[in-house]
Formats: sequence, C-alpha cells, structure tokens
Amino acid sequence: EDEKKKMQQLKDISEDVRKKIISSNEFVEFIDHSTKIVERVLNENYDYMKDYSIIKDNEN
Amino acid sequence: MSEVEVEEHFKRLTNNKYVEGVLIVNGDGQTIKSNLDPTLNKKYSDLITKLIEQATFCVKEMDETNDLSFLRVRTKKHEIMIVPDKEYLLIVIQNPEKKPNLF
Repeated sequence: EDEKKKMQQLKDISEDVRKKIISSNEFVEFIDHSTKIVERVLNENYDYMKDYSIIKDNEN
Repeated sequence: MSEVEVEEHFKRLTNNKYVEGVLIVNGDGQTIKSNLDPTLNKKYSDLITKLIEQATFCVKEMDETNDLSFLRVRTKKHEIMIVPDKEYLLIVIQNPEKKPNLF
C-alpha cells in the first residue's frame, strides 16, 4: 500500500518542478539533440519493412 | 528563451503528419511534456521506461564501455522511436504506413 502511494507520488510532477526542468540547460540540450535524430528518421521515406518484391514481380 | 526553444522543437514533432504521439519523460517515468491523453500517456511512459531500462542493461552487460543511444521498435501499426539520455527520454510514435512510397 505504501509502495503504491510512493509510486503514485513519483508519477506526479509539480508544475514548478516541470518548469524548472524545461528551462534547465541540460534539458534544452537534450531536446535539441534528440529531436534532431527523430526528425532525420521522420524524413526518411524508404519503408524498410515494406514488401517491395510484390511490385518487382509485377514489373517482370 | 530556452523554454520557447523547447516548445518549438516539440511543436515541430507534433505537427508532423506521420507523428501520432510525442512524450518526454524523466528517469522515474514522470511526464515532462506530452501530447497524448493521460491514459495512453501513462501506458507509454510506464512501459517504455521499463523497456529502455532493460535495453540499457542489455547493452551494458555485453560491453560495459558501450551505451544505448537510440531504440526503434517497429510494430504492425506503428514505429516507436526512443532517444534515451542520462536523465530524460524522448518517445515519438509514428505511423510509417501513411508515408508515400518512393522508388
């Protein structure tokens, strides 16, 4: 029961703490770096999971 | 100033038409920013935090000088991209099915 309460408290983050994190240098650097990586992936248009062989077969 | 910068980066991701969700959580699984509804947000933050812990452990056990830098999870419906850091995680859920086919 105590454990549960503790976990719940851990999940909730106060607005003050959130603001402090968002304005910290470390956080800004992390966001700068991590969003760049994700955006590069999002810009990839090649779907590596697609079964391209179906189209090839039709061409032949 | 930095807050504006963070907001810009976040918006750029959430505005992307292939992106279905963006979450930023800390090491305890607490949400710092998210565009998901609370139920889904909790699910993702709890489960992905566990997954990243396991993946980080796995990489470290194999070679203690190594470190996890990026994790892509492809499923039938989505692709989840996770960028871990010392303290934070960026989780982005995209739907690659919607992408145009380029040959």
